[in-house]
Amino acid sequence: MDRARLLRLAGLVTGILAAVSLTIGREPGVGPALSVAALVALLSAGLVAADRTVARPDTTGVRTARLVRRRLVDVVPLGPAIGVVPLVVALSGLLSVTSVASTPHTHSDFTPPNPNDGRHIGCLSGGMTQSGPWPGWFYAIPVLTTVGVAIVVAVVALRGVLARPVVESAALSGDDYRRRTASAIVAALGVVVAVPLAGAAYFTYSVLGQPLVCDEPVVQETRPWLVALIIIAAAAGAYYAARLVFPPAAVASPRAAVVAVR
Amino acid sequence: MSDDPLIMIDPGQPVPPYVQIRDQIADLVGAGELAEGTRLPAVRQLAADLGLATGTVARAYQELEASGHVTTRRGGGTRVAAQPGAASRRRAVIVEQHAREYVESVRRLGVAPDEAIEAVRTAFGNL
Repeated sequence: MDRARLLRLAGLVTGILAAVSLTIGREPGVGPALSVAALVALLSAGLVAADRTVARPDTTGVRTARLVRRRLVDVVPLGPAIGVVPLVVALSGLLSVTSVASTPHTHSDFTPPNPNDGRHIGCLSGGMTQSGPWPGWFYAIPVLTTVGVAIVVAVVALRGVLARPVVESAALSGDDYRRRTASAIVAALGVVVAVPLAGAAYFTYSVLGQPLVCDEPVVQETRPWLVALIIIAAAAGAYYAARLVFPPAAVASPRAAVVAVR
Repeated sequence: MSDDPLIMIDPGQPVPPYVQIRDQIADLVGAGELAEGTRLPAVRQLAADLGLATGTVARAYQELEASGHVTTRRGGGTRVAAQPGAASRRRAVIVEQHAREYVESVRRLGVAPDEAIEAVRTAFGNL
Protein backbone atom coordinates (compact mmCIF):
# COMPACT_ATOMS: atom_id res chain seq x y z
CA MET A 1 0.00 0.00 0.00
CA ASP A 2 1.46 3.37 -0.95
CA ARG A 3 2.08 6.08 1.60
CA ALA A 4 -0.84 8.29 0.57
CA ARG A 5 -3.33 5.43 1.00
CA LEU A 6 -1.81 4.58 4.34
CA LEU A 7 -2.20 8.17 5.54
CA ARG A 8 -5.81 8.37 4.38
CA LEU A 9 -6.51 5.04 6.08
CA ALA A 10 -4.89 6.32 9.28
CA GLY A 11 -7.08 9.45 9.18
CA LEU A 12 -10.18 7.33 8.59
CA VAL A 13 -9.47 4.78 11.34
CA THR A 14 -8.44 7.33 13.98
CA GLY A 15 -11.38 9.56 13.03
CA ILE A 16 -13.94 6.79 13.40
CA LEU A 17 -12.34 5.54 16.62
CA ALA A 18 -12.39 9.07 18.05
CA ALA A 19 -16.01 9.58 17.02
CA VAL A 20 -17.09 6.25 18.51
CA SER A 21 -15.15 6.76 21.75
CA LEU A 22 -16.78 10.17 22.19
CA THR A 23 -20.22 8.69 21.57
CA ILE A 24 -20.27 5.49 23.60
CA GLY A 25 -21.52 5.57 27.16
CA ARG A 26 -24.93 5.63 28.73
CA GLU A 27 -24.79 9.17 30.08
CA PRO A 28 -25.80 11.72 27.45
CA GLY A 29 -22.83 14.07 27.83
CA VAL A 30 -21.27 16.52 25.41
CA GLY A 31 -19.03 13.90 23.75
CA PRO A 32 -21.40 12.97 20.91
CA ALA A 33 -21.76 16.66 20.04
CA LEU A 34 -18.02 16.79 19.36
CA SER A 35 -17.69 13.39 17.70
CA VAL A 36 -18.34 14.56 14.12
CA ALA A 37 -15.92 17.46 14.54
CA ALA A 38 -13.24 14.98 15.68
CA LEU A 39 -14.02 12.77 12.68
CA VAL A 40 -13.76 15.72 10.29
CA ALA A 41 -10.49 16.93 11.84
CA LEU A 42 -8.77 13.54 11.66
CA LEU A 43 -10.07 12.70 8.17
CA SER A 44 -8.87 16.12 6.97
CA ALA A 45 -5.47 15.57 8.57
CA GLY A 46 -5.16 12.25 6.73
CA LEU A 47 -6.12 13.85 3.41
CA VAL A 48 -3.72 16.77 3.85
CA ALA A 49 -0.88 14.44 4.87
CA ALA A 50 -1.58 12.23 1.83
CA ASP A 51 -1.61 15.27 -0.44
CA ARG A 52 1.81 16.29 0.82
CA THR A 53 3.29 13.08 -0.58
CA VAL A 54 2.75 14.49 -4.10
CA ALA A 55 5.58 16.83 -5.03
CA ARG A 56 5.02 20.34 -6.28
CA PRO A 57 6.93 21.43 -9.37
CA ASP A 58 10.05 23.52 -9.10
CA THR A 59 9.22 27.20 -9.52
CA THR A 60 12.72 28.48 -10.23
CA GLY A 61 13.50 27.33 -13.76
CA VAL A 62 11.73 27.36 -17.08
CA ARG A 63 8.20 26.02 -16.76
CA THR A 64 5.25 25.55 -19.03
CA ALA A 65 1.49 25.31 -18.63
CA ARG A 66 -1.34 24.31 -20.88
CA LEU A 67 -3.92 26.95 -21.69
CA VAL A 68 -6.80 24.74 -20.70
CA ARG A 69 -9.42 25.69 -18.20
CA ARG A 70 -9.93 22.98 -15.60
CA ARG A 71 -13.43 22.57 -14.17
CA LEU A 72 -14.79 20.81 -11.12
CA VAL A 73 -17.06 18.64 -13.26
CA ASP A 74 -13.98 17.26 -15.01
CA VAL A 75 -12.45 15.89 -11.81
CA VAL A 76 -15.27 15.31 -9.31
CA PRO A 77 -16.82 11.81 -9.51
CA LEU A 78 -20.44 12.59 -10.26
CA GLY A 79 -22.16 9.48 -8.86
CA PRO A 80 -20.50 9.46 -5.44
CA ALA A 81 -20.89 13.25 -5.18
CA ILE A 82 -24.62 13.03 -5.93
CA GLY A 83 -24.89 10.12 -3.50
CA VAL A 84 -23.89 12.42 -0.63
CA VAL A 85 -27.00 14.57 -1.19
CA PRO A 86 -29.66 12.03 -0.04
CA LEU A 87 -27.46 11.21 2.95
CA VAL A 88 -27.37 14.89 3.93
CA VAL A 89 -31.14 15.12 3.42
CA ALA A 90 -31.70 11.97 5.52
CA LEU A 91 -29.40 13.22 8.30
CA SER A 92 -31.04 16.67 8.34
CA GLY A 93 -34.51 15.14 8.28
CA LEU A 94 -33.81 12.60 11.02
CA LEU A 95 -32.14 15.13 13.32
CA SER A 96 -34.95 17.65 12.69
CA VAL A 97 -37.55 15.06 13.74
CA THR A 98 -35.55 13.92 16.76
CA SER A 99 -34.97 17.56 17.75
CA VAL A 100 -38.70 18.21 17.69
CA ALA A 101 -39.32 14.98 19.59
CA SER A 102 -36.91 16.10 22.29
CA THR A 103 -39.28 18.84 23.35
CA PRO A 104 -40.68 18.17 26.82
CA HIS A 105 -44.00 16.44 26.98
CA THR A 106 -47.00 18.54 27.96
CA HIS A 107 -49.69 15.90 27.73
CA SER A 108 -49.22 14.31 31.11
CA ASP A 109 -51.67 15.05 33.86
CA PHE A 110 -49.47 13.37 36.43
CA THR A 111 -46.02 14.89 36.11
CA PRO A 112 -44.81 18.40 35.30
CA PRO A 113 -43.08 18.98 31.95
CA ASN A 114 -39.53 17.67 31.90
CA PRO A 115 -36.79 20.14 30.99
CA ASN A 116 -36.03 20.40 27.31
CA ASP A 117 -32.30 19.71 27.38
CA GLY A 118 -32.23 18.34 23.82
CA ARG A 119 -30.74 15.05 24.99
CA HIS A 120 -33.87 13.15 26.00
CA ILE A 121 -37.10 12.23 24.33
CA GLY A 122 -40.34 13.72 25.52
CA CYS A 123 -43.10 11.37 24.54
CA LEU A 124 -46.64 12.38 23.79
CA SER A 125 -47.90 9.27 25.52
CA GLY A 126 -45.91 10.43 28.47
CA GLY A 127 -46.01 10.54 32.10
CA MET A 128 -42.93 8.31 32.05
CA THR A 129 -39.40 9.37 32.74
CA GLN A 130 -37.62 10.72 29.73
CA SER A 131 -35.08 8.51 28.04
CA GLY A 132 -31.71 9.14 26.46
CA PRO A 133 -29.14 9.64 25.10
CA TRP A 134 -31.48 10.95 22.43
CA PRO A 135 -30.20 12.73 19.30
CA GLY A 136 -32.16 15.90 20.08
CA TRP A 137 -31.29 19.49 19.29
CA PHE A 138 -28.41 19.48 21.78
CA TYR A 139 -26.57 17.09 19.44
CA ALA A 140 -28.32 17.97 16.18
CA ILE A 141 -27.14 21.59 16.10
CA PRO A 142 -23.39 20.91 16.44
CA VAL A 143 -23.56 17.82 14.22
CA LEU A 144 -25.42 19.59 11.40
CA THR A 145 -23.22 22.67 11.77
CA THR A 146 -20.10 20.52 11.53
CA VAL A 147 -21.45 18.71 8.46
CA GLY A 148 -22.28 22.09 6.89
CA VAL A 149 -18.77 23.35 7.57
CA ALA A 150 -17.34 20.09 6.18
CA ILE A 151 -19.30 20.58 2.94
CA VAL A 152 -17.96 24.13 2.57
CA VAL A 153 -14.41 22.98 3.33
CA ALA A 154 -14.76 20.14 0.81
CA VAL A 155 -15.85 22.57 -1.93
CA VAL A 156 -12.95 24.91 -1.12
CA ALA A 157 -10.54 21.94 -1.11
CA LEU A 158 -11.87 20.74 -4.48
CA ARG A 159 -11.33 24.19 -5.97
CA GLY A 160 -7.83 24.16 -4.50
CA VAL A 161 -7.14 20.79 -6.12
CA LEU A 162 -8.07 22.28 -9.51
CA ALA A 163 -5.37 24.91 -9.17
CA ARG A 164 -2.79 22.63 -7.58
CA PRO A 165 0.24 22.05 -9.86
CA VAL A 166 2.04 18.72 -9.66
CA VAL A 167 5.21 17.21 -11.05
CA GLU A 168 4.04 14.94 -13.80
CA SER A 169 5.51 11.53 -14.40
CA ALA A 170 4.70 8.41 -16.38
CA ALA A 171 2.95 7.04 -13.28
CA LEU A 172 0.98 10.16 -12.39
CA SER A 173 -0.33 12.91 -14.63
CA GLY A 174 -1.73 16.15 -13.26
CA ASP A 175 -5.27 15.11 -14.12
CA ASP A 176 -4.78 11.68 -12.52
CA TYR A 177 -3.72 13.38 -9.33
CA ARG A 178 -6.68 15.79 -9.40
CA ARG A 179 -9.23 13.03 -10.06
CA ARG A 180 -7.86 10.81 -7.33
CA THR A 181 -7.69 13.63 -4.82
CA ALA A 182 -11.16 14.91 -5.70
CA SER A 183 -12.48 11.36 -5.38
CA ALA A 184 -10.87 11.06 -1.93
CA ILE A 185 -12.35 14.40 -0.80
CA VAL A 186 -15.85 13.40 -1.93
CA ALA A 187 -15.42 10.01 -0.24
CA ALA A 188 -14.33 11.69 3.00
CA LEU A 189 -17.41 13.90 2.85
CA GLY A 190 -19.54 10.81 2.33
CA VAL A 191 -18.02 9.24 5.46
CA VAL A 192 -18.57 12.48 7.41
CA VAL A 193 -22.29 12.36 6.58
CA ALA A 194 -22.85 8.59 6.71
CA VAL A 195 -21.25 8.00 10.12
CA PRO A 196 -23.45 10.44 12.11
CA LEU A 197 -26.48 9.29 10.13
CA ALA A 198 -25.86 5.69 11.15
CA GLY A 199 -25.17 6.80 14.73
CA ALA A 200 -28.24 9.02 15.02
CA ALA A 201 -30.46 6.33 13.49
CA TYR A 202 -29.03 3.72 15.85
CA PHE A 203 -29.57 5.83 18.98
CA THR A 204 -33.06 6.77 17.88
CA TYR A 205 -33.89 3.10 17.26
CA SER A 206 -32.28 2.09 20.53
CA VAL A 207 -34.14 4.61 22.69
CA LEU A 208 -37.48 3.97 21.04
CA GLY A 209 -36.99 0.27 21.72
CA GLN A 210 -36.57 0.73 25.46
CA PRO A 211 -39.49 -0.45 27.57
CA LEU A 212 -42.00 2.14 28.73
CA VAL A 213 -40.69 4.72 26.30
CA CYS A 214 -43.03 6.09 23.71
CA ASP A 215 -45.56 3.34 23.46
CA GLU A 216 -47.62 5.04 20.77
CA PRO A 217 -48.11 2.81 17.70
CA VAL A 218 -46.71 5.42 15.35
CA VAL A 219 -43.44 5.43 17.26
CA GLN A 220 -43.14 1.68 17.11
CA GLU A 221 -43.93 1.70 13.40
CA THR A 222 -40.90 3.90 12.77
CA ARG A 223 -38.47 1.34 14.16
CA PRO A 224 -38.28 -0.84 10.99
CA TRP A 225 -37.63 2.33 8.99
CA LEU A 226 -34.83 3.21 11.36
CA VAL A 227 -33.30 -0.25 10.86
CA ALA A 228 -33.38 0.36 7.11
CA LEU A 229 -31.75 3.75 7.64
CA ILE A 230 -29.00 2.22 9.79
CA ILE A 231 -28.27 -0.40 7.11
CA ILE A 232 -28.25 2.17 4.30
CA ALA A 233 -26.03 4.59 6.24
CA ALA A 234 -23.63 1.81 7.24
CA ALA A 235 -23.43 0.54 3.66
CA ALA A 236 -22.88 4.07 2.35
CA GLY A 237 -20.22 4.68 5.00
CA ALA A 238 -18.41 1.46 4.04
CA TYR A 239 -18.61 2.37 0.35
CA TYR A 240 -17.21 5.86 0.87
CA ALA A 241 -14.54 4.57 3.27
CA ALA A 242 -13.39 2.08 0.62
CA ARG A 243 -13.27 4.85 -2.00
CA LEU A 244 -11.33 7.04 0.40
CA VAL A 245 -8.59 4.50 0.93
CA PHE A 246 -8.69 3.00 -2.56
CA PRO A 247 -9.71 5.75 -4.99
CA PRO A 248 -10.54 4.23 -8.36
CA ALA A 249 -7.79 4.37 -10.97
CA ALA A 250 -8.05 7.54 -12.98
CA VAL A 251 -8.93 7.27 -16.65
CA ALA A 252 -6.02 8.29 -18.83
CA SER A 253 -6.60 11.83 -19.93
CA PRO A 254 -5.09 13.68 -22.88
CA ARG A 255 -5.02 16.79 -20.78
CA ALA A 256 -1.98 17.51 -18.69
CA ALA A 257 -1.84 20.78 -16.90
CA VAL A 258 1.82 21.07 -16.23
CA VAL A 259 4.63 19.60 -18.20
CA ALA A 260 7.91 19.16 -16.47
CA VAL A 261 10.62 20.92 -18.43
CA ARG A 262 13.65 18.82 -18.84
CA MET B 1 0.21 14.02 -25.93
CA SER B 2 -2.35 16.77 -25.96
CA ASP B 3 -2.66 19.45 -28.63
CA ASP B 4 -3.65 22.04 -26.05
CA PRO B 5 -1.67 25.24 -26.51
CA LEU B 6 1.30 25.64 -24.22
CA ILE B 7 2.87 28.74 -22.82
CA MET B 8 6.33 28.91 -21.36
CA ILE B 9 7.88 31.16 -18.77
CA ASP B 10 11.63 31.65 -18.71
CA PRO B 11 12.81 33.61 -15.66
CA GLY B 12 16.21 33.99 -17.35
CA GLN B 13 14.80 36.26 -20.02
CA PRO B 14 15.03 40.02 -19.51
CA VAL B 15 11.31 40.30 -20.29
CA PRO B 16 9.03 40.25 -17.20
CA PRO B 17 6.81 37.15 -16.82
CA TYR B 18 3.57 39.05 -17.38
CA VAL B 19 4.90 40.28 -20.74
CA GLN B 20 5.91 36.74 -21.69
CA ILE B 21 2.40 35.51 -20.89
CA ARG B 22 0.75 38.43 -22.67
CA ASP B 23 2.83 38.08 -25.84
CA GLN B 24 2.44 34.31 -26.09
CA ILE B 25 -1.32 34.42 -25.63
CA ALA B 26 -1.59 37.34 -28.05
CA ASP B 27 0.30 35.30 -30.65
CA LEU B 28 -1.89 32.24 -30.06
CA VAL B 29 -5.02 34.35 -30.42
CA GLY B 30 -3.70 36.19 -33.45
CA ALA B 31 -2.65 32.97 -35.18
CA GLY B 32 -6.02 31.37 -34.55
CA GLU B 33 -4.61 28.67 -32.26
CA LEU B 34 -7.05 29.92 -29.63
CA ALA B 35 -10.42 30.24 -31.33
CA GLU B 36 -12.89 33.00 -30.62
CA GLY B 37 -14.87 32.29 -27.47
CA THR B 38 -12.28 29.90 -26.00
CA ARG B 39 -12.22 30.35 -22.26
CA LEU B 40 -8.77 30.89 -20.80
CA PRO B 41 -7.72 29.22 -17.54
CA ALA B 42 -8.59 31.01 -14.34
CA VAL B 43 -5.95 33.44 -13.15
CA ARG B 44 -5.37 31.35 -10.03
CA GLN B 45 -4.94 28.13 -11.99
CA LEU B 46 -2.47 29.55 -14.51
CA ALA B 47 -0.53 31.35 -11.79
CA ALA B 48 -0.22 28.11 -9.80
CA ASP B 49 0.82 26.10 -12.85
CA LEU B 50 3.50 28.62 -13.76
CA GLY B 51 4.62 29.24 -10.20
CA LEU B 52 3.79 32.94 -10.42
CA ALA B 53 1.81 35.37 -8.29
CA THR B 54 -1.83 35.75 -9.29
CA GLY B 55 -1.24 39.47 -9.82
CA THR B 56 1.28 38.67 -12.57
CA VAL B 57 -1.22 36.61 -14.56
CA ALA B 58 -4.01 39.10 -13.81
CA ARG B 59 -1.91 41.91 -15.24
CA ALA B 60 -1.23 39.91 -18.41
CA TYR B 61 -4.97 39.26 -18.80
CA GLN B 62 -5.74 42.95 -18.24
CA GLU B 63 -3.32 44.00 -20.95
CA LEU B 64 -4.71 41.38 -23.31
CA GLU B 65 -8.17 42.78 -22.67
CA ALA B 66 -6.96 46.31 -23.30
CA SER B 67 -5.43 45.21 -26.62
CA GLY B 68 -8.67 43.51 -27.67
CA HIS B 69 -7.37 39.94 -27.63
CA VAL B 70 -9.69 38.78 -24.84
CA THR B 71 -12.83 39.89 -23.10
CA THR B 72 -13.57 39.47 -19.44
CA ARG B 73 -17.05 39.24 -18.01
CA ARG B 74 -17.93 39.00 -14.38
CA GLY B 75 -18.76 35.34 -13.73
CA GLY B 76 -18.02 34.43 -17.34
CA GLY B 77 -14.26 34.28 -17.09
CA THR B 78 -11.81 35.46 -19.72
CA ARG B 79 -12.58 34.50 -23.30
CA VAL B 80 -10.82 34.99 -26.60
CA ALA B 81 -12.31 37.95 -28.46
CA ALA B 82 -13.13 38.05 -32.15
CA GLN B 83 -10.15 39.18 -34.20
CA PRO B 84 -10.33 41.23 -37.41
CA GLY B 85 -9.15 39.66 -40.66
CA ALA B 86 -8.57 36.09 -41.71
CA ALA B 87 -6.78 33.85 -39.23
CA SER B 88 -4.41 32.58 -41.92
CA ARG B 89 -3.32 36.12 -42.77
CA ARG B 90 -2.80 37.03 -39.12
CA ARG B 91 -0.84 33.84 -38.63
CA ALA B 92 1.44 34.65 -41.54
CA VAL B 93 2.06 38.13 -40.15
CA ILE B 94 3.00 36.73 -36.73
CA VAL B 95 5.32 34.11 -38.21
CA GLU B 96 6.99 36.76 -40.36
CA GLN B 97 7.42 39.01 -37.38
CA HIS B 98 9.10 36.27 -35.33
CA ALA B 99 11.28 35.29 -38.30
CA ARG B 100 12.38 38.88 -38.68
CA GLU B 101 13.29 39.09 -35.01
CA TYR B 102 15.29 35.86 -35.30
CA VAL B 103 17.12 37.01 -38.40
CA GLU B 104 18.02 40.33 -36.76
CA SER B 105 19.40 38.48 -33.74
CA VAL B 106 21.57 36.05 -35.68
CA ARG B 107 22.81 38.75 -38.07
CA ARG B 108 24.13 40.68 -35.13
CA LEU B 109 26.18 37.58 -34.34
CA GLY B 110 27.44 37.36 -37.90
CA VAL B 111 25.67 34.10 -38.67
CA ALA B 112 25.28 33.20 -42.34
CA PRO B 113 21.72 32.52 -43.69
CA ASP B 114 22.40 28.80 -44.33
CA GLU B 115 23.74 28.37 -40.82
CA ALA B 116 20.72 30.17 -39.37
CA ILE B 117 18.25 28.06 -41.35
CA GLU B 118 20.06 24.87 -40.33
CA ALA B 119 19.81 26.00 -36.70
CA VAL B 120 16.04 26.39 -37.14
CA ARG B 121 15.78 22.89 -38.65
CA THR B 122 17.79 21.46 -35.77
CA ALA B 123 15.62 23.28 -33.26
CA PHE B 124 12.46 21.87 -34.86
CA GLY B 125 14.00 18.41 -34.83
CA ASN B 126 14.66 18.69 -31.12
CA LEU B 127 11.05 19.54 -30.28
